Amino acid sequence: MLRYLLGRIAGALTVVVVVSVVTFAIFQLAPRLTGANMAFYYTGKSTSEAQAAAVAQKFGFDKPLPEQYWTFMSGIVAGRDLSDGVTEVRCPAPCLGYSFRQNRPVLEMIGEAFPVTLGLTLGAAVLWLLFGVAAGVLSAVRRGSVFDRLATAVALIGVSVPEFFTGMLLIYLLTSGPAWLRLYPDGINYVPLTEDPVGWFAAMVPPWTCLALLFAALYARLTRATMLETLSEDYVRTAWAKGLPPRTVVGRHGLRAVLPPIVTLVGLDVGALLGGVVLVETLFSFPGLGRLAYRAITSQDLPVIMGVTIVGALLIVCANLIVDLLYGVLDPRVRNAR
Amino acid sequence: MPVETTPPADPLLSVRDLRVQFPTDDGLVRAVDGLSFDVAPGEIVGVVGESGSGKSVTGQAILGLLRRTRARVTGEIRFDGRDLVTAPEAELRRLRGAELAMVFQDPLSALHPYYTVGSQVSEAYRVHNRVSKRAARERAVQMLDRVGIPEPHRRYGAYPHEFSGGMRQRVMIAMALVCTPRLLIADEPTTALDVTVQAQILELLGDLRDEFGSAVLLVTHDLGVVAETCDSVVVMYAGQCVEQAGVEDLFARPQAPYTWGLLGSMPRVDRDRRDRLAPIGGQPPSLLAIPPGCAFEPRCGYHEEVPESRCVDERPALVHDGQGRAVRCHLTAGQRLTLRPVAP
Amino acid sequence: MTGTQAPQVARSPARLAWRRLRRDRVAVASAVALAVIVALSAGAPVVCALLGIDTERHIELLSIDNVGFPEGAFGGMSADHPLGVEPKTGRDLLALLLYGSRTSLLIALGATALSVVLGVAFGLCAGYFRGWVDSVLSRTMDALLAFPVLLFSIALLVVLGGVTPTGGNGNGLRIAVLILVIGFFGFPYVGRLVRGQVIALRQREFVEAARALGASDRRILGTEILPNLVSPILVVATLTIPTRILAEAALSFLGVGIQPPGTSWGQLLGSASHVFTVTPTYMLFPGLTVVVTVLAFNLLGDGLRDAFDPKTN
Ligand SMILES: Nc1ncnc2c1ncn2[C@@H]1O[C@H](COP(=O)(O)OP(=O)(O)OP(=O)(O)O)[C@@H](O)[C@H]1O
Ligand code: SF4
Ligand SMILES: [Mg+2]
Repeated sequence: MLRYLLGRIAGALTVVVVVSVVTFAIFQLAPRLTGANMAFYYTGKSTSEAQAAAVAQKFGFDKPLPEQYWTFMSGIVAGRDLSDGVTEVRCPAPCLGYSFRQNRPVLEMIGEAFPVTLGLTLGAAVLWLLFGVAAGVLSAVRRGSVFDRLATAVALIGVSVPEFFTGMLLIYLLTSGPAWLRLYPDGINYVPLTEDPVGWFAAMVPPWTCLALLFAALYARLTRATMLETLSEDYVRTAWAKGLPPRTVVGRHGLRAVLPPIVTLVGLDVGALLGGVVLVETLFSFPGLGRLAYRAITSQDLPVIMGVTIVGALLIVCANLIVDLLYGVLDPRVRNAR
Repeated sequence: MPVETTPPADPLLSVRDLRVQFPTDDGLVRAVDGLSFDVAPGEIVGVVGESGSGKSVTGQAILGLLRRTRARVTGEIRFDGRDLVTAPEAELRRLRGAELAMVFQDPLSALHPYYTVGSQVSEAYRVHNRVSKRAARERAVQMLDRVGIPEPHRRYGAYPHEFSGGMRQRVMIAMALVCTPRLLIADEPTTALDVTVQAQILELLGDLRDEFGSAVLLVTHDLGVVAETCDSVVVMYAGQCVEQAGVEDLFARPQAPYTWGLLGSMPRVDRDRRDRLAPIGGQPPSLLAIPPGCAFEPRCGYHEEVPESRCVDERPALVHDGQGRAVRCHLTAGQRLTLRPVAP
Repeated sequence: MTGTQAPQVARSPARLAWRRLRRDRVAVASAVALAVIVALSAGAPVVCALLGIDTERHIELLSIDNVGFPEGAFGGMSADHPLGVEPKTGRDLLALLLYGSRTSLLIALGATALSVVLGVAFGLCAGYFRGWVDSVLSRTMDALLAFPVLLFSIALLVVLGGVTPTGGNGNGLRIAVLILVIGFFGFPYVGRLVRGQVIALRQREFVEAARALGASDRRILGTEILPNLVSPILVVATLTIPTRILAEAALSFLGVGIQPPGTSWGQLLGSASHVFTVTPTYMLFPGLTVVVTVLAFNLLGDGLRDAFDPKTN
């Protein structure tokens, strides 16, 4: 078990490093290819020649790439002194960079955006797991029933609707639609949980729905298929043969076997979820990581992009790590084997 | 255990004209096709027949496990006077595990991979007995010990994949016997095991019968196993019973040509015991299109002895001789005596 | 375990699958719908000419009081402009949708082709050679699956956007870049599946036999394994197309894909995202088109899978 754990952690760290290298490479190499001015990416549109030169010097754009990468990574541990040629700033210890456009350390921006995204993703995950798994199990148990057909149809449509389209429909209906549906006449605006829990919840419901719908449909389909397969397994037949009531056979023996594949899928979907978050936060204008990243990318605020991408990768990798560990707990064969 | 009140002649289980049909894309698969046989209380009945002859399906039909599949089950399965085919599901559920239990063919896939063997055994006990978790646990440990699992206290918490094939089979048996059922259906409990383990398991079944008075329906490919363990034998072919007889009778005076073939292909003591039955020439009929006459006719060397090609046109009935023997063949009693090949 | 020997005429699996597929009404309907969609978008100029619509600006259709939103109800629907016109430009929405379908489908199909080619190559090698080759390739694919793909795609597109001319109708290069980016990030899914299939196939007798006869790896891969992968590849390709459609839609929606005046489903939805509370129809039609197309591909893919492998249902 310990070796399994260590192996997984090592793998996870490797992924983060690879992601950071690739992100670094994209943003260091590509501007060179296009002949753009690196200093511009770091500071802002109004970069003077002198500033650009200062920045280039300070960041060592003339140094070899590996060395630059090392400087960046060691900044995370040690902090860095940065300058855009006009102002000098000290970016303290876990330094993910400093945005000269916003005049703030990247980490601070990320720290502010993180709770929004966390609430969004966790809430959506709870919703989709609850509804998706429940619908899938019921469908499988009542295979061929009206409920099954309805759920299957809804799930099929659900996996075919992009979250931003659901989002626009929701926003339209809830803010400008028919009067009885106009539950958010003033728009759907994010409220921090700490300020107003009820308002937070109310504001979260539409984006949750929009993220959860797609995944719930996906999970309903997967759960149904896996459950059907499981219900035809020999060990489920054994459960029947013991004289267990259907509740126990399905709820304990069946569901237990469906959990590992669902957990695996959750791990695989964290990346996709982060993508969904970018879309939904952008659409709903929620100040989370997704919107932060999107804005940084479109305004070419390189330090922020680097920071968010690395944090994003870290999140994905952590989620995967948790999933892996959970899988080890759920599947005794894995637990013992490694 | 209630005291056995029915006279021993009254069968515990009586199967009459059982039919199990699976509708498939290719047509109707007649897996069991008019099967009849009896099991007396405390009796060990062997069920033999080639692969695909419907042995496992019969066992599952008895427990009502085919109810949630697309299978159509008709006929009569009388267990202790109750017809299990028509019994309400709630009643069957009370019987399953408590009075009727089954050891499945493949013990690895029949055990839940994610639960400890101990919890699976004690769960089987707790369904039918209102006892505390601890009491059930004790009972399970006791059962694991009884079926010969070393260090049962420690092994209680182990998972199926941590057991060898033989040990898994023992767990299955412990699970099936934990409520001391009156009928145990053991579906090839020894097929995958090596000879010594096989002998141990069979001995265990015999002992348990003596201890708990359970009747056993022992499904197997292996006539050697039958000879050693069983009181009587049902010979199945294409979903039908072609012969039922006491075990000595069957080996000494087999009546049906199919049984002759089976015995002829039986591995001998001087050969490797694990030799499977050398197949009788030809293939069993497709279960999608069982011949209208005798199902064995295409492979039978004796059908010309029966006049008017009745073997082709007319299905022979299962004829009981009143002394617990039954045969399904058009040959007359005299012919069977004279035509039977000399004892194998 | 169905060991019944049905009296079977030697029918090839492909023919059997084809027969099953033809009996599957949902799959047939989806295929027909897709054929119509593809035909309409491929023949967009002709269709537009026949309908008498074009993608020219029609400022006269826009209301001046209402800052550039179409005159009339429902986004300016009229006999001349059946789905209305685009806010701010007055271009015909149906025409835009037809041309946009062209772009979206082109990108989705191109990206799928790339994903499948890469996926099959990776999957084949990983599954066939096992050992360290497998380790390296599988880890690569796993790592890619753990990437924040959308962020990377956005970043790549922004960076490469510096190279690609965005003015005028210069979306040609952008389409190519989109195909590359979207196609690349889609390949690990295909690769994983192919790898699994190859591992299963490797154990089969005919492969063992070929190896025993001394056939080269290349020959075994080409003549024994690949032909047996055709049906799973076909299925996974069909099911990859809708995911690539959604990927293009997402990127263009965010404004880093196809740029106006060029058009695609995602681009239309992206433009609509700023105005949909005023003209919901401008968002509704492109959205529904995406949903219908994606749904049809999903249904067809499911049908194909069931036809090739009737067990799973
Ligand atoms: N669910 C099912 N659908 C269709 N046919 C089935 C199904 N289950 C069993 N059969 C068929 O019923 C026949 C009898 O199967 P069964 O498992 O009872 O054979 P068996 O005598 O136990 O054989 P073996 O010795 O190999 O275990 C087989 O031909 C099998 O293909
Ligand atoms: S009925 Fe005829 S074919 Fe069937 S076993 Fe008897 S002799 Fe053979
Ligand atoms: Mg069997």
